[in-house]
Amino acid sequence: MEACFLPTDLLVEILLRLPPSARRRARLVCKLWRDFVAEHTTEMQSRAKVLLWHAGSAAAYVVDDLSSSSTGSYTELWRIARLPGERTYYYSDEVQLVGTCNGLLCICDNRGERTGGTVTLVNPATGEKLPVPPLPGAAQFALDYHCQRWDRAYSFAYHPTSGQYKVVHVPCSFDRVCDYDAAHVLTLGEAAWREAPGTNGKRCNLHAGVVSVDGVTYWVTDGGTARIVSFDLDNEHVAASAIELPSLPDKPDDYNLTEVDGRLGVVIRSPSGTREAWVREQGKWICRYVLRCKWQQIPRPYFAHGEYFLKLEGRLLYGYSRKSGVVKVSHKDKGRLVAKMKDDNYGSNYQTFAYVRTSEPLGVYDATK
Amino acid sequence: MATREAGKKMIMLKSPDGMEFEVEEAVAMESQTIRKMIEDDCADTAILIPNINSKILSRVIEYCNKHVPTTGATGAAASDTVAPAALAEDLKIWDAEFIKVNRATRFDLIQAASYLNIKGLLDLTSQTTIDTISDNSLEEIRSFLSTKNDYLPEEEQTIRRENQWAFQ
Repeated sequence: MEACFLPTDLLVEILLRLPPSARRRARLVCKLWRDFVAEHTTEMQSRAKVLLWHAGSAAAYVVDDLSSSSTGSYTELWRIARLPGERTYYYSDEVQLVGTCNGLLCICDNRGERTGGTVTLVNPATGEKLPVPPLPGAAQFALDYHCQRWDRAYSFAYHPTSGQYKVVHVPCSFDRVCDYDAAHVLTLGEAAWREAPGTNGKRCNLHAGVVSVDGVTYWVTDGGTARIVSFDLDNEHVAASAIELPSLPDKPDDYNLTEVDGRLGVVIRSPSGTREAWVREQGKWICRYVLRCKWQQIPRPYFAHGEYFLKLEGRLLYGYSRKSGVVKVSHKDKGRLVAKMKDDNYGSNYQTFAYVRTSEPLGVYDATK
Repeated sequence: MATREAGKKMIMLKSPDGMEFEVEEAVAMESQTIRKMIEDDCADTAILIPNINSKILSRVIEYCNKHVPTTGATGAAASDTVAPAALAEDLKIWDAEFIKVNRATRFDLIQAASYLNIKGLLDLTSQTTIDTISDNSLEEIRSFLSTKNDYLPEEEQTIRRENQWAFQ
């Protein structure tokens, strides 16, 4: 390898001044840089925590400890600013967390007419906020019902090599009233959304969710034989061949996409009540997690966290150690209680995400400046 | 001996290629490294600045001249007439012009700023490099820093997975 023009100590000086995600991306430049990041920064020692999103209070909580010393405690991370006189609870279709990337939260406020969802990015650690420009065409849908789960059509993604953040809106239909024929993409820092060519007609089954994994956004097609569409966030093209869902002995009545260890996954609920999590590894689907207990859920959208698989039982979050092979959980396996959320009257519909406290800047993406 | 000229204490800086620069002590002390030498009394004749050639040293002095706080007898006139905000704005424009140099010169300036410990200059010179690393593709970064991708595709895939915060 040719020598860099800059001596080591100055390269390190520069690496230390980079924002966290750029520092990680620098590891991909060459082996020398990967080693610099390992030796001179604590970057790779920072660990993500489990974030619990509670739509009823439009608030995000972070689970303090997943290990055996867990007391089930948690810390409030972020809460929507309530307007004076506004009620203290929210309906679950009002404010939702679309996703998290590198310590940034993507919030979608579904309230307000003809918006198609008001999307805002937040860094709770720095208090920075960035409003995302409104989706084009949303204003044309004059709806009698003002609140829809617009958030379901969005995905918030970070592309690992380009270092760009993108908000994706998938093609879909809301009650056959609001139709989006193509996917739209907004690159953070740019002023306007772009329509992604080649996505026309590939409508998303919004119940199955949208996930972005390692620079690719995936969604399940609606109608006909369900297939998974892969949308590359670098070149913004749809992959020529769609991925089939795992072949299942028991006909599923419900499923959703997820991410496991940086890979695409799908959680399937069969009519018998069994829930299975399948992971896509080297072009094959492999079953990794089976949950056989009624009234208990594999949390959405992400259930695999570090050494643990998660399970939700109402407001209680349990962790199970991940072993090799298939993790099988029946109603007898209690697991470890890692978060005991507060009891409230507004339902306990929790979603799980990954969160890491970072100084990731948002102001630099403000296209209006 | 340090010379005196119109009441200002002067100091001599020498580059390894034999050039000598006479500068005001206050200007030279923008560099924490030189400040320490002066304070430790190691600078009674001239200070040799190793590893920084005359071309770069003259640019560094140019920067320090511009950035030395305009206080005392010499600066009184300037600060009386110009508002601090306007002064800061003027400095910003000046800095932006100053940094319009080729890559090799910029890297030399980073090294000089680091060795001489001039925080403002180091911030200014490294920011452009930081922006390049933040805003460009990996291939562009590699060409900017004259380095090559030495990963096998599988290794690259591993790094990509490790880089994701959610799944360590």
